[in-house]
Amino acid sequence: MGRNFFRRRKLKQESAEGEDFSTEIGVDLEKNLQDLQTMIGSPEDLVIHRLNLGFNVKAAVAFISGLSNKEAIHNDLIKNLLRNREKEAGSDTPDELIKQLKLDLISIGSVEQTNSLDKLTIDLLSGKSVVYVEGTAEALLMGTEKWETRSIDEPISESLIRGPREGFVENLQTNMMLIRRHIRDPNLRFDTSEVGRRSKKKLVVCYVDGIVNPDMVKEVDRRLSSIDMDSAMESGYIEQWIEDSYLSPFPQMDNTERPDKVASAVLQGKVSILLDGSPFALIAPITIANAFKSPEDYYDRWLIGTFLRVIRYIGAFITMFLPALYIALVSYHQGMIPSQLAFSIAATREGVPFPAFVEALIMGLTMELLREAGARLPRTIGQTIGIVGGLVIGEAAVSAGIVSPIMVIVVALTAVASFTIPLYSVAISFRLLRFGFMFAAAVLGLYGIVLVYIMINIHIVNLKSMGVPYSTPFAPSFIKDWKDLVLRGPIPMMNERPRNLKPKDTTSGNLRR
Amino acid sequence: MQLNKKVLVFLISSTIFLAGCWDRVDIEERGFIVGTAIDLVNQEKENEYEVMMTNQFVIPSGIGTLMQGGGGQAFMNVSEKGTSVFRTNRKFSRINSQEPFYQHLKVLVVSEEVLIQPHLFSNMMDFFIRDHALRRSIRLLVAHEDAKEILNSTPENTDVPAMYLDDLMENVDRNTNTIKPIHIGEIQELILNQQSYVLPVVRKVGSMAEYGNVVVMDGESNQMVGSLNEDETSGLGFINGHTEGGVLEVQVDESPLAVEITKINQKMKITNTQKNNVEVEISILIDGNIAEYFGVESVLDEKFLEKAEASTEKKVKELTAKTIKKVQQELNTDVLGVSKNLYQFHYDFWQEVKEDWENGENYFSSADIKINSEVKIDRVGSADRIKMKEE
Repeated sequence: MGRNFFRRRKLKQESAEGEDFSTEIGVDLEKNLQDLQTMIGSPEDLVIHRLNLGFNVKAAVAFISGLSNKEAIHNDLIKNLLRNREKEAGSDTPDELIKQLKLDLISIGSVEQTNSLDKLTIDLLSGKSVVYVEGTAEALLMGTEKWETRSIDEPISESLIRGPREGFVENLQTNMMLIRRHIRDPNLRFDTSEVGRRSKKKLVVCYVDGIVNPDMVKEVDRRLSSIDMDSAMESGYIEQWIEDSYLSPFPQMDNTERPDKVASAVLQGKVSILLDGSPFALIAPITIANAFKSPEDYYDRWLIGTFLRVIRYIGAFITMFLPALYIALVSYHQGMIPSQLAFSIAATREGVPFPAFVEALIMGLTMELLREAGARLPRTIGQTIGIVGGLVIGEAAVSAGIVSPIMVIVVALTAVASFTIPLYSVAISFRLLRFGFMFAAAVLGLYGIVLVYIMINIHIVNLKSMGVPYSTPFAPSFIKDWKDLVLRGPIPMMNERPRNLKPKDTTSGNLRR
Repeated sequence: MQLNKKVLVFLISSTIFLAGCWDRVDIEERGFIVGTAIDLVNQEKENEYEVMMTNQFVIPSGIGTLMQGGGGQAFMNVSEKGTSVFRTNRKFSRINSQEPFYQHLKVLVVSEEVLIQPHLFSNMMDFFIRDHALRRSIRLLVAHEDAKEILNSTPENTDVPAMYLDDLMENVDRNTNTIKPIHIGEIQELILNQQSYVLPVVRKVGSMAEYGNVVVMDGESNQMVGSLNEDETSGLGFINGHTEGGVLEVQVDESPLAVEITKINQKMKITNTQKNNVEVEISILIDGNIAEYFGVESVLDEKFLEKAEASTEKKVKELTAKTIKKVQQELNTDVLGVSKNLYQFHYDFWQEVKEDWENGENYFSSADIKINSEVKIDRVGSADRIKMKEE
């Protein structure tokens, strides 16, 4: 099913966009300017500055005011054009003149020459300024992009106790800079392409040539080239378009706001995808083990890192199984609860009108509601929601006899455990799967839990991320990768890149030197 | 074909809704039985007895919850009469709304009257061993009088008598006449092996129950043949390791001395295998501490310790001699473990004598059982002496 879906997408890709005006620039300046205005609908922020280059050679500079660096346009472009009009503009033809302008006069870093109206429009809309010269079918594009951006902040969704405080911003250039500052390798590649029929957003595939498996890059490129949509608002659009299975509850790509995380991923032989306008970089491929890894594991000493990881694995199991186990034990297998606890659970449940499953469902849904409400509200009110939900609803529900106190403990423990998983998207899928486990436990008890667990394992074993099995390095096993799995080995011992990625260069250091 | 597949998937997944939930009983609807007592009512015919089953149900709200303490009674005892245990158990559902739940059953108290009848005990045990809901770790106790009275013993620091009895059986290393608790799983083994065995006794003392001493069960007829008193039980504990520890009171130079036993090891060796002259040598190694001493000698003195050890050894020999005399002469049942040793190490000989071991020729009674005891006192306590010698 998934494969057909992709094929259908691909067929649609090459379809012409109907338009009335010529896609080439003409020799008539006024006609060109008019074409441009027609093309983008003469908006208010389009600035056209007509000027005279001397000897009656007319020219015009056009730019979008909010996207361009006005200071640079005035100082380095318009001033230069006007100052030199007496000197330079001799008997040259307009074609030679524009070449001259490009080479000698304009003191802006990036200057391009084009005769395509399409390219010109898109570049104009991404902040470049255009210089038209009367009599030539060529125009110059100046890299004068500058717009208001957010400053580099600590990533909110992935704050660490120890580690760099920089996070990605919405500006692609800044994000690339942040990665470059971690890796000063000439082999660090940023392959740029455009995405979105209408948005024409810049998309960058980042990897380290010589480490990454070339097939991986090819596969990523192939998938990216199949993208056909109006716009990618966020890197999540890209992720969902190119992921291996859209039916899976598990994300097949990591997303991060942390440049250090991207840098370490590309150094391991992974590929990262950055999208202009999104502070979230994608990392592919990932495995299930990535859900339990946090950059902090590596920043603290290995014993602490290992401990934290083990805690997270325990947390994941609690998230998925605890409410289901409660249901199974309370509704079916009372003999498995220690006697004293069984009696005390029975005592607390006396008077509760619902079976354990409904009780667990009520509390589980309440918890999800509170979490969602807390996430949507502004931070200051969000905290109030936590207090209101946690204390008032929990306490009141118990005193009202709707749920038993044990259930409150179970739900609270589940919620806390689910927040230990560093990869937020995986944490959500775990919480979602929890309801499946609860349902299975309600119907078939422990047997049902085992069945669902087997089903999920089968799915994980089948799942792939960019062609890499999701269950590596557990199975297929790469024993050498296990020193950075549940355990996190001492840094000097981790001198090899993950084998499961089949990197071109396998060693990242030499312990024996 | 495509449609069929969809229909198939639908049908398979709908089985989840059709089946399932069939064993679901929420925890508050369970009647937790923690203790059961079996008493004999009367004998109806040959091999048909009417027994009274008393089940002890827990009342969870009486025990209290994690949040608040309980109030009121924490248990209720319900009795029913019948011939088969299973049917009698079913009768409880006629009077109790909660579904009886046996997985938390802790203790089974059987009255002596039941044990005296041949084969009745093993018949009663059948249900407890066969039923899938019952655990093999249920502990068994024998009551000399009414078994159901035992389930009424409620000291003030406990809520549920059965739980109290269960905990009581943990204190086996405090006294020499308390043997390690025996559970249903072991009983099945013993009944199948037709081996003679002992069962621990509980008796009611006021509102409390007292755990200690044993009754002796004959392997073949599976009926009780007698009981051992405190000294005899202690001796038995030393011989076959039923006891884990305890205190021995001895006299050293006419001053009483209490030796706390910390470790008991025993080794049985059969030195002669002739039908009429089986010689058994049992070595008992005991480690102990001086716990209490009324005399004035220095306990640090090597000679004193030697004397103390010697008198403790003598005491052990006395106790074991009593036991051996009782089981050999009076009861004629080999609960000492000699037959097991023969089976394990002298199998051919055992095949010859096994028919006449406890019955017929009764080779067991004529066996010569020698006890070697060796006591080592490790520690003497925190003080040398409390009072000085009177000059």
